[in-house]
Formats: sequence, structure tokens, C-alpha cells
Amino acid sequence: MSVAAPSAPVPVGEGPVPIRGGLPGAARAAAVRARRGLRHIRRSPRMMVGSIVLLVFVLLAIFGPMFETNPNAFVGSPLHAPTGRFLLGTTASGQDVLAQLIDSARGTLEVGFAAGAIATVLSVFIGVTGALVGGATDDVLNLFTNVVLVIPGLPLVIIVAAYVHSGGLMATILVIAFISWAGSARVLRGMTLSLRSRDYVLAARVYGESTWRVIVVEVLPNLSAIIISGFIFSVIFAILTQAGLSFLGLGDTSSMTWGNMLYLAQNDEALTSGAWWWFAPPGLCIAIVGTSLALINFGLDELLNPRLRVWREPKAKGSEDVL
Amino acid sequence: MRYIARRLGFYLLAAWGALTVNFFLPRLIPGNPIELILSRMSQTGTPPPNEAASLQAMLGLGSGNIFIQYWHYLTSVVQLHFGASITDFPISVASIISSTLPWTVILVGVSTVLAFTIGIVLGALAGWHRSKWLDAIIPSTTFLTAIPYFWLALLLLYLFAVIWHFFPLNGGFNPALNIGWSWSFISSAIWHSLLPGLTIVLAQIGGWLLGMRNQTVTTLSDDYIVAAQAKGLRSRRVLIGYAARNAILPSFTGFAISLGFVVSGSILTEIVFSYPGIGYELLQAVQNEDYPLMQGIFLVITMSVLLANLLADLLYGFVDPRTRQAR
Amino acid sequence: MSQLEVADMVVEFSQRRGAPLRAVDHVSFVLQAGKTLALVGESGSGKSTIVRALGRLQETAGGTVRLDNELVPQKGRALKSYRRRVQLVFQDPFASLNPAYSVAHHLRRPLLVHGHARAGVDHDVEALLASVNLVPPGEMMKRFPHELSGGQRQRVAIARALAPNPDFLLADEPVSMLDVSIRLEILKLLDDLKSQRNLALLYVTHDLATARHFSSEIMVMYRGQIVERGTSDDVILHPAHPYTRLLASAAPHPERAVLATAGGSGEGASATGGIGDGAFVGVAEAAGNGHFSSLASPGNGPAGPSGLLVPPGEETVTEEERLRRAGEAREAATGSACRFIARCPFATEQCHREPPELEVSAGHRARCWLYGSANVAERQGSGARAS
Repeated sequence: MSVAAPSAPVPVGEGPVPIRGGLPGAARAAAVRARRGLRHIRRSPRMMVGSIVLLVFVLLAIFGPMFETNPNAFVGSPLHAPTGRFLLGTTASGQDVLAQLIDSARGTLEVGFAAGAIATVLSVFIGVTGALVGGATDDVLNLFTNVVLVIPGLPLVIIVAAYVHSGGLMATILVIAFISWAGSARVLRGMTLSLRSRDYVLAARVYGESTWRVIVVEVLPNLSAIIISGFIFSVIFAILTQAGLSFLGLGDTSSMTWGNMLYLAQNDEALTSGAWWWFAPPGLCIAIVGTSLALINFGLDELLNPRLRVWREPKAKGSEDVL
Repeated sequence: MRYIARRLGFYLLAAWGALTVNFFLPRLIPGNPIELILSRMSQTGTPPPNEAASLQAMLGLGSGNIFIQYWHYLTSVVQLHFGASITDFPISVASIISSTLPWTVILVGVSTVLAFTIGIVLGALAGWHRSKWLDAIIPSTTFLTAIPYFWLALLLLYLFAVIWHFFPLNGGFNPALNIGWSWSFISSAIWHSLLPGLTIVLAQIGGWLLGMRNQTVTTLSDDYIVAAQAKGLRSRRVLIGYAARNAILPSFTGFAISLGFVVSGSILTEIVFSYPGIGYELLQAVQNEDYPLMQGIFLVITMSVLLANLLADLLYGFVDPRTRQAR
Repeated sequence: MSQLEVADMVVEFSQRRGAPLRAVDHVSFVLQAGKTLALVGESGSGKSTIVRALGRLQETAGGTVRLDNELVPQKGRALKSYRRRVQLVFQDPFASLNPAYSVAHHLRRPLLVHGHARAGVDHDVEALLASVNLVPPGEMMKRFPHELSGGQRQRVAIARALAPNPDFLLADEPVSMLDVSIRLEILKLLDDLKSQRNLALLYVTHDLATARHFSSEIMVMYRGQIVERGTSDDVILHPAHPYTRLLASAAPHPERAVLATAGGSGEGASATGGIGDGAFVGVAEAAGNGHFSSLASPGNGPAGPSGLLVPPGEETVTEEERLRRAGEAREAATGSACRFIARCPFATEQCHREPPELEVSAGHRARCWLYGSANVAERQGSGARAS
């Protein structure tokens, strides 16, 4: 195939050794994007704070239980205020609150990330497919999305949980995922609809790219920021919903979560007996993890829409890169 | 007109979807729920002879194949035949709901409107004065939105009721008073609703504030705002008459969608405060395995959310001239 | 000799209510190797739709497309060889490159899709970049779209279109989104590529001046129809259809500069050089080519909205008349009248029937009753060819 009809001489030996095949190129593009992503994380203080806090909790969830003794063991006198031995006091049955808190991080994050991941997969599948296929499929999927969106989630989850008594952790995750995918699916559909008719997508069709390659290679990478942001929202939502469900005593009780701790604290009258060290920390942890996730999302938003940045004194050196 | 008809059709469809989900739920119970329920009813009183049939219709578990059951279920629900409560037998589900619903509607309604209004106003101001202190507190609202509603309620309850004895610990009114239109009762009800209301407002305000602020910032760089400023209009007028008017539109859509979340959040808040609303009743029903009551409450909550959504949509059509033209 | 033959192309868009909108209405033309055909018209006239339909991005409702006498299907596998031979250059270089990928990706993919071996593909990518004068190619291929200027992006887009080594290039307003200073360079590049590669070029534009300069033939499109076609010089220097005259008079023209100012309302026109929607501004310039006598309506300043077109021997069109015609314009949308009737100063009873393409001179045709057999003698008698 003759491509060359060069009117300018082709420089030989300039530039890097030609990379063979399409994949290394894509990988390099991904690497460039990852590097740029890291630079943005460093530049956005919110994203930085959010990422660090989240990382701490994730590490705690993974490695914390290794260093702790059995969190359910009765180790001290009941409802003891924080001391040097029990940094966060004890429960009504004399368990170490701090140990429970660390142990619960794992369960809570597990539910959050699992439900968030399932919800994201659902939303990508339903939102993107509908927009790309179009026609009656899109109409039906879009209608379904909107219906799920307006039906209040928590009451439904409560009812389902009440009927399915011993569903276990997986049931909780699935139910939460099912009520939380619709929002991002709607956003993704709108974005895909707009991407679908972009000129570069049309250009790929004109030179004969297959449909699935157009979707995976040309469309999806440009949805990644929205998908990540939707995932983060789903995780926050899942953690909050799971906490609420557990607080009502409807969650899975086999594994410890912050919501379960709050349920036990409420049941044992921690409030009226003034045991703030029992009920305050779990909620605070949920709020902190939620905030760190929201901060990361905030940073992503700023990346996508520079106008939203919180106003700061312009820096003296005017070397701000263009996005 | 077309717009209204379309929205109406959509919500009818959504309602039908909710009803259908509700129809399939009782099938998740192991064993025969009707016999279970009847035997529990007979502990507190004698079930009337037609109770079994109405229970079957209500739970969609009557005789015949699944389509006949479905039909019986739909017809009984449309006629608001929710059957009788198990725990409070023979009080009907409908009357329990109608005695608890007003508490929720007033509490949640008032606090939601308050949170929306305050959030919108503060958000517009924060977007307008981008370098001032108000905009600097924006990041902290992120924290507010990530706090679990019910935990915030617990915290406020602990501080204001347990430690400082400022507000009552629980309930919706002073139980020593009779329910009625007396001033002492009403003031007691208001007094009891302040802390739950505050919780709902605090928990919601962050979202509205942030959304409105971002929308205002985006709107402010639009050309018509620049033009309005260039005309020499006073900045207050530009903010209210030009920027806020347009920036508020997405929040209205958000308002409709978030109603579902508001209801969810207020269920937990009611439970923390033992507030005699529908959320608290739902928990009672769940704990007592009072299936007819649960089903009824779920349907009522869903239908109210759908209705509120419909109203918000119609209002939106009124507020946004572009949809007005489409009618 | 390769050629792409479009016959009676019809493209319709379904509307929510009412009959479908016919964006392209029985359009026929032929693209030939080594020649540039310009397609000129205002926004919404259907130019881009033709390009999209030819690029098989838009289904046609009627008509045929033949590539070297073989029928081209609407879609399916059979399109692959067609796709290799017919390529598009899009209007907006900021939208036509995927922001997620480097320049190399954009050129590598079309090469690979059309059977280029993976080995050595980057060498050909560099060759492509060099052929559109993006140097140094090795450096350029690593860039991302946001690191390029508008002109550079359009060069990449052209290189991408060249990658499958096509015989036909459809350029949809390739320079309208670019800075004025680099438009000519890009057009020159397209022209050079056409000569080097013996391409058939369809150049869609709303700029008459460049159309004349870069193409051998011009088609003028108005509301889905070709209203005039002929050699570039015929169409530009002796516009026949009233719409083309309107366009020609609105374009800046050095030879007529003096007359234009004398005409009294030239100011608004020459500034743009393009086609404004429904602009009658500056029409009075047309007085220069002998078809019109010009009368500015009383009370209108030099920059006023209307220099009025008046055919010879007719009275000045009054304001009421103009309003009445504007009202008709809205009604006439679906009728069988001439599409231009509402804006046409020469409209007569005859124009309520749709005119066919009528011959003005050899190879120069216009869709206007003025060139019906009855009228032609009179027109030519009144010195229509003199300029």
C-alpha cells in the first residue's frame, strides 16, 4: 500500500524507535494520561486530601485487623470512658470500641466498593448501550432508568430486607446496587448521545472501524471521568445506605460494620447513658470516608470544569498549564 | 398540554412499576404468610371471615393463577383496601397510615422547603462573591452531605436533649396533652419538631448550596450576564433577575429527584427521634413483621414521592419558559 | 478513470410532527479524478447532509450512488472497499480529533483497518504527516490534539483522510473554523494533494471566492436543491439564478469595488465575504454586472437592511410587498412553488410551479423560469452576458 506521496522529506532516524502495533501506543497514551492525572492530584489540594484520607482507611481496612485482638472479646468493664488502655472506651458489654471500629472499616468499605462497582457496571451497561443502540431499545432502557430513579430507594430496601431475613452480605450489596445505578446511567446516556455524533466518532466510522471498536476505543475513554465520578458517588451512597439499613437492624449481622456498631450502641442506650465514645466514632468515620470520596469527586469536577474552582489569589508565576 | 400528559403518563407507569414490585415481594416470605398472619391476628382478636380474602388480595396471594392474583391485587390497591394491621389488629392499615402521614408530611415538607430556600440563597451568594468567606466554607458543605442523616440526628439529640436538656428527647408532642387544635398541643408539636427539622435541614442544605453555587458560577460567565453588567444594572438586580433566575433551573430538576432521598433520610431521622411519622411506623411494622402495614406504608411513601415529583415537574414547566413553549 | 456518480439523491429527516423534512431533494452530480467540484450554499441548505450521505453516515431516502458504475450499498460489509476510496474531512478540527489519543493513533488506525501490516506502520504515519507538511513528523505524531493549533489539527484530519489512500476526498467546509490567516494554506494543501494524487475533490463551502479559485466547477445549493451549476467562471462571473446573483454580489470583488460604493450599500456586504442567512445586504452591487438597476428604498441609510433588487422595467418593490412575500415564504415551505420564490425579486405567476434545471449556456444550467424557452431570448437580448 502506497501511502507516501511526500512533498516534504521524511526525516529518517528522528524521534524514538518506531513503536510497532497499536497497543503500545494506546498503553503509552494511558501512561501519559495517568501521569497527567497524578499531576492534577498534586495540583488540586482537595483531591490530594481526599485521596490520602481514603488511602489511610483502605490500609486500615486491609491491615488493621492483623494487629488487633478479637474485637468482640469482652476485655474490659462495660461502658468505660476512653482511657490509655482503651483509646475509645468500651461498649456496654465491655468490648474495645477502637478494635471494633478498625474491624468494621473492612466490612463497610467492602459493601461500599462492591455495591458501587456493581452499580457502576449496571449504569455503564444500561446507559451507554441504550444511547449507542438507539431506537426502541433506548426508549425502553431510558424509561426503566427513569422509573427506578423516582422510586424511593431506602423504603424499598427496608421492605426487601424485612422479607429476606438472612440474605447475608451479598444480598445487601445487590439490593443497594440495584437502587443506586439509575442516576449515573442517565448521565452516561446523555453524554454518550453527545459523543456518538462527535466528528471523531464519525471519522472512525468513515475509515471503516467496526462498531464495537468505535465504542471501546473511541467513546469509552472519553466517558472515563464520568464513570469514575459515578462510581465514587455510588460508593458514598452504598456506605450511607448500608449504615442506615444496619442501624435499623436490617443489615447483615455476621460481619461488623460501622452501621452495625451504631445499631448496637442505639439498642444499648449508649445515648442516654452518655457513652458518646461508642456512637460518635462510627458515624464520624462514615462521614470522613464519605467526605474524602466527595473531595476526590470535587477534584474530578474541577478537572472537567475549570470554572468551578474555588477562587484563589492568582499565583505570581503565570505558568499554569492549560488543561 | 402535551408536556403535562407526557409527565402524567410517565408517573402512572412508574406507579405501576412500584405496584408490581410490591406484588412480588411477599413471595419472598418462606411458608404461607396468610396463615401466619391470621394465626397472629387471632391472638389479639377474632379476624372477620373475609379478612383472609382481603389479605390475599392485598398481598397478591389469592387463589387462581398469577395473573388473576395480580388483577385482584391491583383492584384492591386502587380501592385503597390495604387490609388490617397485624400488631394493632383490628385497626386498618389505612387508618394507621392516615394518622401518621400528616406528621411526616408537615415535618419533611417544611424542612425540605426551608433547606432548599436557604441553600439556594446562600449558594447564589457564594457563587456571586467568589472571593469572600462564604465561598471559602464551600468545602465544608461536602462534609455535611457525607454525614449519615441518622448519625447527625443522634449527635444533635445527644447534645441538645441529653446533655443540655434544651429540646425534648423523643416523640412528636407532649404525651400528657390531648391531640387536637389547642394551642398547647400545637406549640408542643412545634417544639418537638424543631430538632428533627433542624437535622433534615442541616443534612440537605449542603447539596443545594453546592449545586446552586456551581450553577451560579457557570451562569455568571455567560454573555447575557456580562451584557447586563455592562448596561450598568445594579449588581443585586443582575444577581436576582438574571443570574439566579437561570441558575436555579437545574436545582428544580434536582429538587424533584432528591425528594426520594429526602423521604429515605427522614425515615431514619424519625426513627432516631421516635417521631410519630410514617417512617417510625415503618420500622415498627418491620420489627413486628406486620406485612400488610409494611406494604401499605411502602406504597404510600412511593406514591407521595411520585406525586411530589409530578408537582415539581409541572412547576418546572411553569418556571422554565422553554418547556412552556413545548406544550 | 475513477468517478463517483450521484443520481437523484434524496435525504429526509423524520420530524416529530408532520411530514419528514427533505434536506436533500433529487441532487445529481459526478466527481471525477483530478477535478475539484465546489458545492456552495448558505447554512442549512443541505451541503453537509450531502457529504454525510456520501460518507455513508446518513441513510438516503432515494437515489443512487455509483462508484465506477457499481452501485454503492447503504451499509454493511460491502461498504469496506468504498470506505477505502472515499474519505471525509470534517469542518471542525476541534471536534474531529479524539482528545484521548495522540496524533499517531488517528493515523495508525485507518492504516491498520485497511490492511496495513503492523510492522512499519509508524513509518507510513510519518510519511502521511510529512505529506500534509506537519514537520517534524516524528515529533508531531506524539502530540495530543490539545497540543496542536487549529490549522495543525486540520492537517492531521486531512492526513487521516489520506491514510486509506482514497480516490475521492469530501471536504466539508474544511477551513471555515480556522483562522483567516491559515485558510489559504490549507486550501492550497488540498489543491496540491489533489494534483499529486489525482484525487477527485468535493469542496463544500459558503465562500464563493475560494470556490472559484480552487475548483473547476461550481454547484450552488439552495434549500436542498442544486439551483445552478456550471464552470467556475460561468457561475461566478455570469451568475444566472437570482440566488447566485445575490451570493455573488455579497462576495467581495476587487473589480467591482468602485461600483459597489457607488451602489450605496456596499459597506455591510464586503466585510464578511460569506453568505449571511437571508442577507439582502449589499445586493445593490449587482448593478455592476448589468442585470439590475438599483434603487435604495427611501429612508434607508447606506447600511440599511435592504438594497432592493429590481428587475429591469419593473417598479420598485414596496415595503408592503416585501412583507407579503416574507409571509409567503413561511407558507411556501412545503408547496410545489420555486423554493426561492419568497426571496426572489423576479417572482412571477410562473414561479408557483417548480422550475426544472434549464440551460443558460453550454454546460451552465440554472433552476429558474427566467431561462425557460420563452424568457431566454428576452434575457439575452437585454445583454445578460455582457459584463
